[in-house]
Amino acid sequence: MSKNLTQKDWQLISAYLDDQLPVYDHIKTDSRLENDPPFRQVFFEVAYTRQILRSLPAKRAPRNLTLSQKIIQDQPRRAWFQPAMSFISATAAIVLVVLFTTSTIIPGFQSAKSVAPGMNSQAEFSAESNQKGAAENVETTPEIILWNPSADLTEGKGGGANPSGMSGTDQSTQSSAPAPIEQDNQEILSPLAAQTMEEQPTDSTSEYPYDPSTLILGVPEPGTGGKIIDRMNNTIEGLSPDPNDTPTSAPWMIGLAALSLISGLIALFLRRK
Amino acid sequence: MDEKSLIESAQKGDLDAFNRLIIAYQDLAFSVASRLLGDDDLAADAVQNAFLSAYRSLRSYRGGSFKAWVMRMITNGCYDELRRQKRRPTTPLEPGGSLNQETNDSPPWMTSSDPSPESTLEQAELEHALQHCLDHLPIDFRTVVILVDIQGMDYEEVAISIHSPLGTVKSRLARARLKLRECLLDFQELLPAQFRHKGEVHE
Repeated sequence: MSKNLTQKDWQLISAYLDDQLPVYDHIKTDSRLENDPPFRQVFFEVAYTRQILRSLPAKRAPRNLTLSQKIIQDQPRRAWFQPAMSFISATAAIVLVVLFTTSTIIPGFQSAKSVAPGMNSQAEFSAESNQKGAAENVETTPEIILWNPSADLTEGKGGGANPSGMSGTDQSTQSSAPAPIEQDNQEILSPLAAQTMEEQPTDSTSEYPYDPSTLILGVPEPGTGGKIIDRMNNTIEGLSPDPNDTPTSAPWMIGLAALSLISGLIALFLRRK
Repeated sequence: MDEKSLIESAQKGDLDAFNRLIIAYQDLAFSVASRLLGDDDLAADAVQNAFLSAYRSLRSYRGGSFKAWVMRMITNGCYDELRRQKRRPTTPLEPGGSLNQETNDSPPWMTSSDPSPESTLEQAELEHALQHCLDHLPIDFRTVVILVDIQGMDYEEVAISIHSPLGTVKSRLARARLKLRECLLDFQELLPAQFRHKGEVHE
């Protein structure tokens, strides 16, 4: 019958026996003991168990457990080395996980190279590309050059050569830089180059680290595909990571993994010992 | 000297003052450790180590019930010992004092100096039955039931000793008593007559 009682009833009975109930609950339990036979039966069972436990004699210490100076000096202090090794191992593992997570999940965490690979050789490549002409249909991913993000880049306007926002029709009559597709190959291939050469014929490399004549739409160097060269901000952003790029966090991760492993093994060894 | 003065002296490094505190609490500490560990020799060593730890960390004592603080050191020491045993389990060379085993060559009552063998036998059987049931309790429940029911400590002191809320103490105690009750039902015939059920209390 006692199986019908809940855990709360057991706690109530236990606290009642130890006189740990508030007055209201105590009176309520008294009343229930009088009117609820199953509850009363369980109460006697718990009281019986408690009585047996309390009848156990207290044990006496078999010897004097006082301390002496010799005991204090002989007993080495709790080794700090093992907990320290455990802590170092755990910390290194956590940092490793964080570093690994941030370097793989957050792409911006990876260090971008300050200079895009292949930029130095792009001048040669550009000249070669110009010779081949626009008739050559290039299907590989071209470099994307943003030479004036603020300009209207809609059809026929061309962008960079017309920061004041002139229309495409006006452009074709006033400037040679933003050439529509019908113009000659030179202009189609390197509108920026033409514009820059007109405006800054001799001083182009002093303002920009890249030779303006190389900033063309064309076949990129292997490894530079998909990069955005923002001329106005003078930055290069990678659209796709170069498989040859090695994140600078890799040595750290290797070091942390080694540290975590070694200190963990030492801690385990000391614990076993 | 009262307890407070002894504690203050001990905190300043007075070993004699701390030893006087040890003498005041060593029986209680040993009794708790013995019930928790189920082995008197292990209990004595564990208690002495716990007292040593207490002496070294006495500066961390910030007032309150010194008894509860000491009991915390003792229970922590016993937990350490139990963990160590779990890592390195040992097998006794001789059979232990299980109730289901044959009588040993030198049962405890034969070495006792008590003039009444029958009462000693009853007491020993009771202790064996209870210790068997205690050993099968989860360690958290065992600690609470030993401190409250066997040592007679109040709930607040136990809560401090095991570093748990008062509600946890009440809950663990109720569940421990429930489990002990179920366990003791299997040992009715081994219990002394005055503790046997008369038939009015059973499921």
